[in-house]
Amino acid sequence: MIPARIDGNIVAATCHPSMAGTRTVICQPIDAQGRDEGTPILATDTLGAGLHEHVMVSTDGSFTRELVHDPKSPLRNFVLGIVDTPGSARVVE
Amino acid sequence: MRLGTVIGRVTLHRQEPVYTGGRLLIVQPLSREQFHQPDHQARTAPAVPLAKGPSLVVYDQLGAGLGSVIGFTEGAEAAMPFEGDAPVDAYAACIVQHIDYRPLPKP
Repeated sequence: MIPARIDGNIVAATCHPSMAGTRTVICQPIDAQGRDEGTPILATDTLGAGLHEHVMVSTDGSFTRELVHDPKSPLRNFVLGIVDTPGSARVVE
Repeated sequence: MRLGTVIGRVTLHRQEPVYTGGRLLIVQPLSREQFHQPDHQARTAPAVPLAKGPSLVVYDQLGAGLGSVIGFTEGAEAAMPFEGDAPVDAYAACIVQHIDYRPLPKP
């Protein structure tokens, strides 16, 4: 699972059938302090995360296939949950 | 899934039977600065300069043209759309029409 911040979304009309009707968001991975870390990735969002909300992104492709109800879906990332209080994560020393 | 620009194609003389029906595209992954892409139909050249870094070959069944931005998945999930085992580790999942990218301003 990757902590990330929603930085936008994409619109794609021509796509694999399993993506039809789903929302694909741009997720910027962040570290424990909320700083950007690396290149944004795309994830399937069924929870309706808002712009700049902190979320957890899962890279478990098998669950994404269940989420879109297509065992042949090439999708991998999906938004697992929306962080309630951004910045509340603490690194244990 | 990552974003990338189609910069070319690969033609195979002999190939695994599972590749039949699709195309192989050479794709340059987008870096963060290039997410601010203007809307465009397929052009012969990318709208913004390409990022530095390695490109990859992506299997495409959607018909993406040169200069298009596509979303592609990698790894084991890229072989999921095929019947049985397939030697594919990058698959074009969508052709992107519009990228709405609004990062936070850097502090």
